[in-house]
Amino acid sequence: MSILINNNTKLIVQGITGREGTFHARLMKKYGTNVVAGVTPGKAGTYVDDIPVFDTVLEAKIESGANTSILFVPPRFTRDAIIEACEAGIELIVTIAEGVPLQDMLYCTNYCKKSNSILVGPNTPGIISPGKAKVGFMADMIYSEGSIGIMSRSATLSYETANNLTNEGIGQSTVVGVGGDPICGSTFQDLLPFFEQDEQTKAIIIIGEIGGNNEEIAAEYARKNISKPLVAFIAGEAAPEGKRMGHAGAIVSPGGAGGARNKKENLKANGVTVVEKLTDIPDAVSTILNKIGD
Amino acid sequence: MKFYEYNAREIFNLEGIVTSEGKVAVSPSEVFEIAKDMNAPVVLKSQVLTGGRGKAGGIKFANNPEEAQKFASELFSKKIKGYPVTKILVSDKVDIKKEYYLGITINFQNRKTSLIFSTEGGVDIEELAEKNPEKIIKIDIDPVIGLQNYHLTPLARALGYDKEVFNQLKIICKKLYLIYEKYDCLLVEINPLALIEEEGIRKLIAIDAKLESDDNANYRQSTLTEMWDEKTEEKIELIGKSAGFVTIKLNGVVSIVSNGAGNAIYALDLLKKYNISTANILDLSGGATPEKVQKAVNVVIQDEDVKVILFNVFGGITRCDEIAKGIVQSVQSIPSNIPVVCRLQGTNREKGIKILNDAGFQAFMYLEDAIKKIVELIDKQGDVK
Repeated sequence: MSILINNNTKLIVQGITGREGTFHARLMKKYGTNVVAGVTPGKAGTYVDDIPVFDTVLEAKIESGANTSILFVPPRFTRDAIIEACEAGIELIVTIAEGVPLQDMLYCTNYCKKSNSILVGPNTPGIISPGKAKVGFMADMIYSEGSIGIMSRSATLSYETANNLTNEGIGQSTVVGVGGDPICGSTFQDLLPFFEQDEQTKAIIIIGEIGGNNEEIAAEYARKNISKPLVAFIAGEAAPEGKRMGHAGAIVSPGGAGGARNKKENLKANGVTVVEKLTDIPDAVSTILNKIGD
Repeated sequence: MKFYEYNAREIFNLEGIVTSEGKVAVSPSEVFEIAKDMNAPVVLKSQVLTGGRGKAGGIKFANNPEEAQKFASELFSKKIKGYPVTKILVSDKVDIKKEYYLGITINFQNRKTSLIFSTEGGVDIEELAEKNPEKIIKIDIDPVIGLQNYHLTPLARALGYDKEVFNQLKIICKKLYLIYEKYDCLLVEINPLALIEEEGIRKLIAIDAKLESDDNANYRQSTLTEMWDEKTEEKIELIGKSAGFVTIKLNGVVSIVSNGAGNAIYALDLLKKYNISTANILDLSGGATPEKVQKAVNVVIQDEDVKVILFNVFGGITRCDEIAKGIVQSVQSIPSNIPVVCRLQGTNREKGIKILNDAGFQAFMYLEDAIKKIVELIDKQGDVK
C-alpha cells in the first residue's frame, strides 16, 4: 500500500502560482497525483490549468477535501505556511525549502506533533510512492514500484539509490526525503513505524550522512521495534571534523561525534546491514530479499 | 555564525544582562591605555572562536598597565588552538565568590530547546558532563510553550533554595532565553556566571559570553550580520558565497561541483577511496542554469590548489543539458592545465551527454568511472595527490 502517500492522496500546492510551484504542480499531476487545489494569497478564483487556486489553505481544504499539502514557499514564509496548513487540519505537510531558519523549524516540528499533522522536510525533494503518487520534485522516471522503502537525508543520493535499484529490477514502495537540515519534521525513527506497518514494504534502506545521531537513534529503535531488515549507507567518511559539509546538518563534531565511522559501527551493532558504496545497495537488498523469500 | 566574546557581550548588555567591564584592543599599546584607564588589575582575554582558550594559555592576569602591555605582546604573537590572536578583551578582574554555568541551545537530538545549568561553572562543560553528569541540570523546553517559571524550579533546588541568588538567576535565564529566540541562536552561553559581592550585596554577573547564530536567519538579523567579522572564513568560501553558492574549502587537488550536498560528499568519499584529495566542494543546488554553472566554474578556478574539476550531477530538478551547456560555455575561462571530468545522470542525460561530446568532452554515467578517469589524469600530471 506504500506509506504517507498513495491513490487516496488529495494534494494542495501552497505557492502554486510561483514558477516552481506551477511547474511541479503540473509534473505531479502528470505522474498521477490527485492535485486538488492550489493556494496563493491574493490569487483566489484563478486557475493553474484546471487546478483551482484559493487564498487560504482552510478555504482550499473545505472546497477540495485535501489531506496533504506541499509547500513551494520561500524559507522566510515557511513557518507561517506550515502552521497555516496544520491549523487547517492537513494531515501530511511536505516542505521542500532549503535554508529555513532552524528556530522556525524547531517551532513547527513541535507544533505539528501537538496537532497530529505529519511534517516532512525541510530541504527535501519530497515523497514518491512509485506508480501511485508523487509529492515532490524528483525526476520520476528513475523509480519503479516494488517492495523497498527508502529514507534519505540527501536528495541526490536518494536518486542514485532508486536509480540503481530500478536498473537491477528492484522496485520501491515509498521513497521519502527526510531532508538535509539538522531539524527535520520527520526523522528516520519517526518514519520507521510506517514502513513496519506497510504490507508492501519488505526491506528498508536508510541513506544517512555525517552529523547528528538520527541514524543511530533509528537503528537502536529498529533493533527493538522493527521486524523488517534494514540496509544503510552513510555518506561523508572523508569529511574533516568541524566543517559543515553543504547540508546544514552534515557536520562532524570535534572528537568524531557524528562521524561516518562511529555511525557505521553503531548501525552494525544494531543489526543493520551497512554498505560501503552506494552501488553495493542493490546486491545487499537482493541478498536480503532472497533470504526472506520474496 | 560564531561570535567573539566581545560581540556577544555587546548583545548581552543590549538585552540587559550585566557583564564585567571590558574593552577591546588590537595592539599592546592599546591594551596599556585601557589598563591605565581602569586603574586596577586586569584580565587579558584573547578573542578567538574556540573553546578552552584559558587552558591553551589565551587568558592572562596583569597587575599593572606595564605588565598588561608585556603579556599582550606575547598573546598577539601567539596562536590559540591554531587561531591567531588579533583582538584582546581587557576586562576588570573581579573577586568571584562562586562560579556557575548557564547555557541555552537547540537540542538536535530531541528537537527541543535545552537550558543547561551547573553550580560548577568556569570549567569545560563537555568535560564536566562526562566526569560529573550529576552536576549538570538539563531542562528541555518545548519552543511552542517557551520558558516558564516551573522549568526553573530545579535550579532553585541546586542553589539550596537561596532566594536572593535564585531570583537574580531567574531573571538572567529569561533574558538569555529571549536573546536565544530573538537573535536566532544555536547557542548562548555564560561560563562563568559569577557570584560577586559588592558592598555587602551579592550579585550575579556574566564574566564570559558566547553566542552562535543560525546563518539561515541572517536575513532578519541585521544587528548580528553587521557585527560579524567575515575574515574568519576561507577566501574561496567567501568568493563562493558572494556568487551565491555554498563552497567548502578542503585540502587537496580536485574541485567537486555537484547539484546537491549529498552527491558532493559521496564524490569526496569515493575520491578518497582512490587516494585522491579534494580541494573544494561547490554545491550548485537544484535547477542550475548554464549561467549559474559558468559562475560556479569562475569560483572554483580561483582556488589555486585545484588541478582537476569534477562535475558530479544527478539531475532531478536539475537538467543535465543545462549543466552541459554551462560547462561548454565555461571552457574559455578554465586554464588549459585544469582538465574537466563530467558525470551526468538523471533528467535529460542523453541531451547533456551529446552537448558535451560535440564539444569534445567525455561524459560518464557512473561516478566511479569518472573518478577512475581522474586517477589517470593525475597520474599523468605527476602531481601529489
